Amino acid sequence: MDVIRDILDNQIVDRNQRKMGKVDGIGIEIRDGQPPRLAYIEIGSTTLARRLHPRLQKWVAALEQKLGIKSNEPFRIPFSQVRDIGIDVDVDLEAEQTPALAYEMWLREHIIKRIPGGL
Amino acid sequence: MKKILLTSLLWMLVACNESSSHDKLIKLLTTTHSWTATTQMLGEAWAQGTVPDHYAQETLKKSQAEIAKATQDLTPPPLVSELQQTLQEITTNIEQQNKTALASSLHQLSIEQQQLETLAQAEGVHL
Amino acid sequence: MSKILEVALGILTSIGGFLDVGAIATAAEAGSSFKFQLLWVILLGTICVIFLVEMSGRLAAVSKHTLADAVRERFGFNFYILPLLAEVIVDFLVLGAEIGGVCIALQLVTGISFQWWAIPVSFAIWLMLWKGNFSLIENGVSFLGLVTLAFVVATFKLRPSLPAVAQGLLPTIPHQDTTHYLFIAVSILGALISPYLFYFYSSGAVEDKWDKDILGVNRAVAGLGMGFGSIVSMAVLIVAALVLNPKGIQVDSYEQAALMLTQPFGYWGFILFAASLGIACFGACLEITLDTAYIVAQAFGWNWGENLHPQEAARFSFVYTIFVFLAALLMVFGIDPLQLTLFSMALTAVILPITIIPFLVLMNDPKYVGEYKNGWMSNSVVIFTIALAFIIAIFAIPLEIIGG
Repeated sequence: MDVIRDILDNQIVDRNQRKMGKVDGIGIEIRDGQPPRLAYIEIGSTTLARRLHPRLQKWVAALEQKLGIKSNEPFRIPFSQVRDIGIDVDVDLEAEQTPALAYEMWLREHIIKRIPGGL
Repeated sequence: MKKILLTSLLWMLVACNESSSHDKLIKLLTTTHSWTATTQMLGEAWAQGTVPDHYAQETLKKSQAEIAKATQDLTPPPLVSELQQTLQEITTNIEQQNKTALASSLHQLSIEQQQLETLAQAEGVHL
Repeated sequence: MSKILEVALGILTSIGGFLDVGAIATAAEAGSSFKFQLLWVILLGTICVIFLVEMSGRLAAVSKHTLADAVRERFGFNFYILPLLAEVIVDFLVLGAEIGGVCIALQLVTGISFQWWAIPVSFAIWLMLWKGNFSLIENGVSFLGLVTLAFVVATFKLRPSLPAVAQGLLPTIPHQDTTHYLFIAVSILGALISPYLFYFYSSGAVEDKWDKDILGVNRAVAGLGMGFGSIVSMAVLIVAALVLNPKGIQVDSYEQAALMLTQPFGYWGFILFAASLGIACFGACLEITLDTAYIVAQAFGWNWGENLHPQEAARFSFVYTIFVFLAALLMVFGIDPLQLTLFSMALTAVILPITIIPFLVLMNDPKYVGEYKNGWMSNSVVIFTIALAFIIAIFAIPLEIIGG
């Protein structure tokens, strides 16, 4: 499917053109008698790890659990919220309100903000 | 991929076997020649005030260390030991800021350098 | 800014930023050991770089993607993880060597051992990245890098025999010391054709918001900037050939190379060498540190950019912070800077194929470069570079072991 080639690994940007991550995975809905439909796009380190090797996914998931990172589930964006597919995949969301930027926010609050001159 | 590994392996085996005593001698002669030439240029530069003391001393130390490293696992020709001695004299001269003694040590060094070149030629080494 | 001014600025920064620890070390070794014979390798490497850098700018301007972005998108993460890992590892070693270059320069001038300088230097690099913006880094330090023109001035002062120099521009292979010659040749190519150069260039083009109108400027800057920059590299080789080679000094350490400008310039020659080495390497440190953060951030789709404040791009800033201090440790632990330089250059040559092949594909894909696809000349040069890179890749490591 061309959609797979067009959308997988593309940059995702939110309503404000803020980078949210890449399309690490996609979910396809298979319906009887109809062509398969793109259900959602997925962002997540475990998704990415799984593409490399299933065992790697388990390893990454275990590591995240040990580090106390709450979400084990990758973040899914339903296809209905995808507004445009061009150079980037525009989605109708606010990046900071989604789990996509969990690491980013954590680093910002706990480390970057503590170092002077960061603004 | 296998071909690449095999080629590399062959190359590495060649490399390991290459250090015969003659090759070690060549390495010693080239290293000594290069570092004594360095010392010569360094000594002259220092005498003219072109380079600072600490740099001269550090480079001399390095010259001696490099030549000493090349003499390992082999009996160096007596000329090399003489050169090492001259290098030590030069080190002392610079430490003591003795430009007169340095001039004569450098002269001594250039004579020994020429002898080294003759020795190398006899061994078939192009310096 | 008018186009002419942009081109002029681009050319000046390319000249000032051309030299780095690899270029200086390999040129000094080449000139001192083989006189002018290896000049053609610098010329060859420069031609390859000019085309690769121009392509990198064109890709960024037309597709609005950086090279790293485009490779992941076009080939998938499963493929991209390979060049990414290779590049990060090589960047780490090269950064260590570049930091070493700055530290050696400081050691030459102050007498304090390079190991002590590693952490302060990496802190200075970090501070510039943290507080600075892209223009400051790209233009500011590169302008200071024009001090390396001292080598060109020295060449004029030393009056080389022009026919002899011209002969060096033609490919030759000596019968004696062949392994050593080939090893230096491979290292020169690894020093010149560094992937970080064209990854960084494409990121810079996106930071500067290039578009189709800038393609002419891009061509001029790539061609003339790299072209003139290579003259500085050749000047280092020529000076080493004229000053060190006749005395029989074969450069095996930076202390020996430091003598080369003393003949034309006396005391100032010693200082100019240290300044050139220090500034050129510092500039390269900034580029490589940034480049690593760029390719990692772009690989995972994080917010990135030197023009952003660190708080706006936390993961990006975090990566370069950790990376520069880790690389400094290589020098803190006293690894010989020159040996590290030569080793990392050889390793760079090894990873070239996996970096350039996807690049070639992208430059012929209308989805990315539209009507600005590669012409036959660009494609030929890149294919030649890939072939060259494969040959180098097979022989580089064995040569490193034998001839290093």
